[in-house]
Amino acid sequence: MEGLRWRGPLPKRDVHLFQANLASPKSDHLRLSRRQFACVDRNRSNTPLQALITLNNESFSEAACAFAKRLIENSDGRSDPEKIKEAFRIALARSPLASEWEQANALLMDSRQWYREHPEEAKKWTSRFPLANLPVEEYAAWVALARIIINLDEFITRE
Amino acid sequence: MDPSQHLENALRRNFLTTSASGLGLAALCSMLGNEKGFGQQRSGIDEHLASPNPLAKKPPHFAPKAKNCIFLLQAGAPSQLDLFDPKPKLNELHGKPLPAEMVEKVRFAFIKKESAVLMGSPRKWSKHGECGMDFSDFLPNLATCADDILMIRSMQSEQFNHHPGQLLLSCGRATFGLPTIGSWLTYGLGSESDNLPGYVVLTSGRGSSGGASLWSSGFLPSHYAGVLFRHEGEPVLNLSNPEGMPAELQRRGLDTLRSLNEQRYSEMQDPEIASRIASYELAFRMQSAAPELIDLRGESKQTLDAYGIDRPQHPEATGRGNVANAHLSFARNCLLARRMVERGVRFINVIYEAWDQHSDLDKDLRYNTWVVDQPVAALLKDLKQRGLLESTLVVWGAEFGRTPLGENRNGREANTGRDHHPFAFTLWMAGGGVKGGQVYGETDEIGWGVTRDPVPMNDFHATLLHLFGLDHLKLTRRHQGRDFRLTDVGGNVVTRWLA
Repeated sequence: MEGLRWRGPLPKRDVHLFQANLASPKSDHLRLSRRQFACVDRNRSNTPLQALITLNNESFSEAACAFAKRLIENSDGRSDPEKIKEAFRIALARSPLASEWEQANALLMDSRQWYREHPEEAKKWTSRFPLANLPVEEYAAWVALARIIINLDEFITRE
Repeated sequence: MDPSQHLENALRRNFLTTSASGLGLAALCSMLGNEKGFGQQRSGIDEHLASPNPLAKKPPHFAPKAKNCIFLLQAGAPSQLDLFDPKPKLNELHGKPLPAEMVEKVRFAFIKKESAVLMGSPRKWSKHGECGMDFSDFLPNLATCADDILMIRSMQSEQFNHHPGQLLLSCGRATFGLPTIGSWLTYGLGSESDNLPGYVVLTSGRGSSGGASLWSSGFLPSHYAGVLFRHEGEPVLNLSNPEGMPAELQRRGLDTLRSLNEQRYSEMQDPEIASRIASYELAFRMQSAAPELIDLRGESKQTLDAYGIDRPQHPEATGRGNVANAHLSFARNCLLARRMVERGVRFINVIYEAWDQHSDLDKDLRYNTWVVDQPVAALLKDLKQRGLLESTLVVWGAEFGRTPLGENRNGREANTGRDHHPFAFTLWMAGGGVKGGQVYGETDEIGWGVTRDPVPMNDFHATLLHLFGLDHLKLTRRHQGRDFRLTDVGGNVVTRWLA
């Protein structure tokens, strides 16, 4: 949204039109407000079609890729355990519990192993935001973990 | 504050609330010698802990007739006076006003009382089936199913505008935040399908102005809400894994996701987290089941033609029903509904919002009935031929009917439409244990009011639940300190509807 800076008072109507034009299948399934009128309370919903979007839709794969890239680029040589903690901090504003950390680490290691055996898949999986200075299977494993973190209920829903 | 401190506080707060109703309840129940806890009462949280799948099949209260429901919601309110309930007297009185005392206390959506006059119907009527049921000439295909149809001419609503009326029809009361019929059924009976949602919503044309409130789960956990399929293009998107994410790794990731979400659930005790877990697991299974469901290539040409899947557009396509090739999506939705019934989907809501004919009634009704008549009749015959009609309740109806008075809005030269009419309207059902070939209820000579066997909405709901083996008085959910029912504080089972 960097490029969209208005000078002077905000032209409200145009903003509404802009938002209305963003409507997509995603906004239907995620029950976004149509912004035709004030929305006091969003409808609660929780359907498998939403899960399919956040798991499989291209924009969420891109988001996972960008999240992993950010983790790695800002890691300053930090260890895996520290990077996992950082991922939880960015996504959930808290540190992982020990058991959560273990689960995340296990997924990271399994994914790393799988992509090591399937470098072509690793390449495809990370092609959304390529990263030069890291073995592609290593990067792919982090994208796989980042994708699961942004699918956590705690990340999707504000309680 | 340290984030972990915040979590601890949240945990402490949740412990206090859940232990008050959880541990305390357990203690009370064991003192009362009731190990199951409150008999018929079905508590969401206990249910989740006991069962990994919140939509697992549950036994009904007594032997059911119906297992599935296809609810063909004709939103906007079709004119019963031009389709199902012939009124020769209304034609005689065409152009005459009603006595003032009849309309004195009535609220209309648009009609101006001072100058309102009755409007006859130009439709031609004939009797069909062994039962001799009346249908107008706009429904030639449906008329051939007369002996399977229970025609209810005495429905009554308390609401004279669309959305409140649709809420009353869907939830039993014209209020936001209540569960819809499909939610109550999946809450009471669970889902028969492991790989598809228990409650699906299909729309044609304009979609639904009532929106998600017509398939909401209200205060029930959101896994009982209807799942809206798309009405243009592919019904379900994102069924394939993203590039570079193979099936085995998808499953591996989902295992971690499930485990982390379960841990969160055990801390927070929020049933919505259990819903989320169920949604992801169902999403994964849908990735293989849904493509098969929506692929119609296995259907015979005869079947596809019967539903009118590829029908050319009507030469006089017109009005609010003619949006986004509604004739194609409605036919496809009817066929998809049958395929879903075969695959165990409990409740399929097929919405066609097209019937609000305040003007141009004849033209628009001609088109809308052309859209629905062939596919709906095909659906009934198809279900019957496959032996599914006995256990599948098909409902065709709307939030109210239309007035015997013509609509005379300011600035109009002539009356060409009818206004909203909640006092007496027609809804029909077939299959699922209803007694077909029957006309129930009666309206007066001009179709203004009910003269015999009025059916309040709560009675309709009580009977619908009864067909599914559910006692509407026992199917309850405690919310905000009291037990709620689909039938609110009313409801009688109409035994004469039962086969």
